Amino acid sequence: MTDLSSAPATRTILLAEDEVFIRMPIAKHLRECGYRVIEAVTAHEAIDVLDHADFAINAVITNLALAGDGFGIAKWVREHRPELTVLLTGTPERSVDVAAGLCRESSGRGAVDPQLLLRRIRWLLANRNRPVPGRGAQRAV
Amino acid sequence: MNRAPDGRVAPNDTPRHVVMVVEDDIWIRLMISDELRGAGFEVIECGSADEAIDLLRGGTRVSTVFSDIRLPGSINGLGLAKTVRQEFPDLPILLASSDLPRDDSTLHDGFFAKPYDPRTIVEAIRSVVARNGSGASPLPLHDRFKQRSGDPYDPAG
Repeated sequence: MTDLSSAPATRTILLAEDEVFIRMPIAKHLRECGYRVIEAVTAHEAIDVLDHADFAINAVITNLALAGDGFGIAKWVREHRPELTVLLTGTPERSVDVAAGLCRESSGRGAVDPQLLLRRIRWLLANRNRPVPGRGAQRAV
Repeated sequence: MNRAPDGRVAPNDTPRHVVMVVEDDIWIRLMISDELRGAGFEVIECGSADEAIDLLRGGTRVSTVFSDIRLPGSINGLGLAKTVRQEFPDLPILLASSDLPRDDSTLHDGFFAKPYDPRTIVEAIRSVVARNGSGASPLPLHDRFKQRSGDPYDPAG
C-alpha cells in the first residue's frame, strides 16, 4: 500500500473521472491539499498515463462508471502496478469521502471543508447547462 | 518576462487567473497545464469542448480559454470558439492545431500551430489576461447564489 501521509507536495494522484463537474472541484481540492493531480477523462487516458509516465504516481482515484470501465483501471493496476493504491468512487459523496481522506492524511494547507465541497458538486451538477443570464440564450451546438 | 532556472516562465508576478485548457490528448494537456500552473495560473482541464461549454454555461469563472481545434464530442474547437464569441463575448479564446483553421481570425484571439512551445502559450495568455484586465468571465452562478442566500452551494438555498 502506498504511503500517502508524508510529503504530499511530492505525491502525485491520478484522478480518473469523466464527469467534469465532479472532477474539477475534486482536483482543485486535492491540489489545495498539496498533491499533484493528473486528470484523466477516460480509462484509456488513465492507463496510458500509468503505463508510460516518466514520473511517479502514488495513488489512483477512479470512478467505477468511468467511460472505458473504471473497474478496468483497477484490474490493470492490480496486474501491472500492484504497489499502487486504487481508491474507487462512483458517486459525488464517495468522491468527496476519498478526497477528504487523502487531505486529512496530508499536511497540506487550507484544505476545503468536505461538506462544502460536496454541496458545491451537487449544486454544479444540478445547474449544469443552465444558460447565464445576459449572455444570450443557450444554443444547440 | 521572468524565467526560472529551468527555463519555465517564473510565477512571481502573475495574478491568480483561471485558464481553461481544452485538449483531448492527455500528454499535451498535462504539459500545457503544468506549464501554466508553474507560471502561477489556476488551470481547469477539459478533455472536450462539450465539457468546456458545460462548465462555462454552469457559471465557472474563467479568464482565458486555450483550446485545441480537433476534439472529440459534438463540437470541435472552432465550435467552442463560436459559442464563446456568441455567449461569452468578453472571454478571450486562443486556439491551437496542427492544421491552419479555415475560419477567419475573428473567431479567436490567437492561433498556435502544433507543435508549440508551452512557454509561448504562457506568454500569450499572460498578454491576453493583461490586456483584458481581470478577465471578463461571467460571474459564477454560485457567487450570484451566495449574494442571495449567503451559502454558495446549498441547493436548498
